Amino acid sequence: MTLAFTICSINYLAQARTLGDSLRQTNPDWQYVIGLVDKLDQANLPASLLPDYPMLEVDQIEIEDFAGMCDRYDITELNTAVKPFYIDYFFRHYPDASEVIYFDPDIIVYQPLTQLKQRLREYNLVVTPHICQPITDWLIPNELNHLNTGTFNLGFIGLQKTEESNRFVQWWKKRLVHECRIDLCNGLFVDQHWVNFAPIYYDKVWIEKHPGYNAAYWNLHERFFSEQNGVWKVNDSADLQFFHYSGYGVHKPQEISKYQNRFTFSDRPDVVPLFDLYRQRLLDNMNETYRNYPCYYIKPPKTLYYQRVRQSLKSPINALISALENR
Amino acid sequence: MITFLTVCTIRQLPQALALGESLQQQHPADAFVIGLCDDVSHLPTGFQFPYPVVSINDLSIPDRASLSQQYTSAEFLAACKPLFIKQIYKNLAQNDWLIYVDPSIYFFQPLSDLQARYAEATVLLTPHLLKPLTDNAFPDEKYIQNVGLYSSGFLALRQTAETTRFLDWWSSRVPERAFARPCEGQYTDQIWLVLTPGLFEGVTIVKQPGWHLGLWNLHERPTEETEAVIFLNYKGLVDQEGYFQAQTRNRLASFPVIKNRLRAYQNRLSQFDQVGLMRVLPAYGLQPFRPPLKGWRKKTVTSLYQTIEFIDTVDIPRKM
Repeated sequence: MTLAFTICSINYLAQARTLGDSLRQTNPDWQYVIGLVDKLDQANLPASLLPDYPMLEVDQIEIEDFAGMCDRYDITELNTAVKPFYIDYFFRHYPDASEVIYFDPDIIVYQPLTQLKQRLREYNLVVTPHICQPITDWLIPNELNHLNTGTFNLGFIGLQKTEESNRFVQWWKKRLVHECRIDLCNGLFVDQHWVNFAPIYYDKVWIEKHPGYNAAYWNLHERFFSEQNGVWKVNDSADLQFFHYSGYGVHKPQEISKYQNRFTFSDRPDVVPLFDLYRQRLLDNMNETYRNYPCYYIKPPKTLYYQRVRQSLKSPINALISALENR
Repeated sequence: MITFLTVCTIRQLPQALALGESLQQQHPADAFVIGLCDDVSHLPTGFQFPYPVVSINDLSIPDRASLSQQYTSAEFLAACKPLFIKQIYKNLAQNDWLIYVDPSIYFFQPLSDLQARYAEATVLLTPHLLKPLTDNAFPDEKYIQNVGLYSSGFLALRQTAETTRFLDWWSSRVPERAFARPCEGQYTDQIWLVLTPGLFEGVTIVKQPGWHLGLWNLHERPTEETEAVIFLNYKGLVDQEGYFQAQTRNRLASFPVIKNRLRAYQNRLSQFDQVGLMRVLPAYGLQPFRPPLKGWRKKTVTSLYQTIEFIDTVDIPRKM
């Protein structure tokens, strides 16, 4: 059995349901679980808002130092840090799941993922690079941005349940307990940058370059879309497997993604129908209702008082640091 | 047929000559070329190259003076390296191998796996580390991410259309963007290699533990088995080059075989330096190099930064 899962909070359940609906349509024999970084008993969702898919709350998956992680991380960091912990949980508690596949909630699957399943019979991990062709400009995101944040996009990862995959998951977990932060100057970008090590440290890691996988704003420069006889094609040849609507918002329908400045919909009319479809599905799945539920794990912003006192305490220390550094 | 290439400054020439000697022993049928990334007129009088040489004057570098002005000497050499490689690569016949190696590399065994194991590869990369780190020493994996996971001290290229595509890409990015500036995603010519398994077909990660031993990975390599070491990089062991001088993981005293090898290597270097090559300062890369902090200084600075962070983030309620 293949187990697919996503991770989100209640405010993103419209996305998670849209992904689930697309999986049910294209891969009906897969099991789909929503990993919920939220607390259902606090939110009191009415029955009409409960998704048709099983939800697994993050405080139920036996994360050893979960309280500490909640304390250290903001909501983005926490949502990404728990990814390998879910995989580990599925490996241990779903004995029938021979493959575990993670998708970000803002993905739609367009095809039966038979090739992916085939790969996972031979390989331990399947990962997708952000770019399979060079980028020739320095708009955002460019190759330097990818160097800072990770070669592979971790909105998707497929794992065959093997000892080697489990070694990878245990290593990744260990790193993410304390170091799932965004600190580019110190080599950190949430869970994603770490996975650069995967093909080095672990055997049989497949780097999937099929242009139908994980299509998103970061690879539009190498991928063009068309609908032929009801099937979405990439570059006229490959079938679109899944599209990742990262950084797109129903409330900014004129923007491809808030994380990029390379393309507009008028440059890229080919992707407009893909986004129109997504927008409609989100609205149909009650995005407007879900988005108002605040996440239980969001911390109130900390106000740091006594700034002047802090400054005067720091100034001699900074002087000492600079004396030591510039000997 | 393999062509080995190194790129060095005049003061690194004794290393290049020692490398050439090791190649004559391990790869007697193959070629070795030295790329001189320095001002030829600074060579000591009477010095003769025992190998073919490509000089920086043979390359078309758009604005050598401004690159020299903006970089340290190590950055400048890294910026030019892909251009040297391209210069040799363009004369290869199809399927010939070009292997770039740091001057500080020394071969103990031939690369006999090259044809057997990697005949289908386009580009061979050697990772700094093959196994996860399990201690708290420096450098940690985050630092390796900043400088690049694959060492650019070794790069094997098979002449194919895809390899040409890689080389065109690399050599068009690196010359202008070879700063050691991790916050901006830059780290010399090296960090760029991290993108290549995604961008190019046939890029192959070499996981043989006997390939490319160095200061940064002695703890996970077969240091004591004489037969197992194919090649070793003395960068940072014999000089102040490279990105790992401040490392605290591997103490030479724990690796007696490597220590003996280093002593023998140092002897070879002095044999090759009877005309005072090592005293010639690099002509290009005028920015001063600030060596990394080490020892007590590093420890103190680290804990001072932690103190600053604490002062910045500690929660003090308004009314106590």
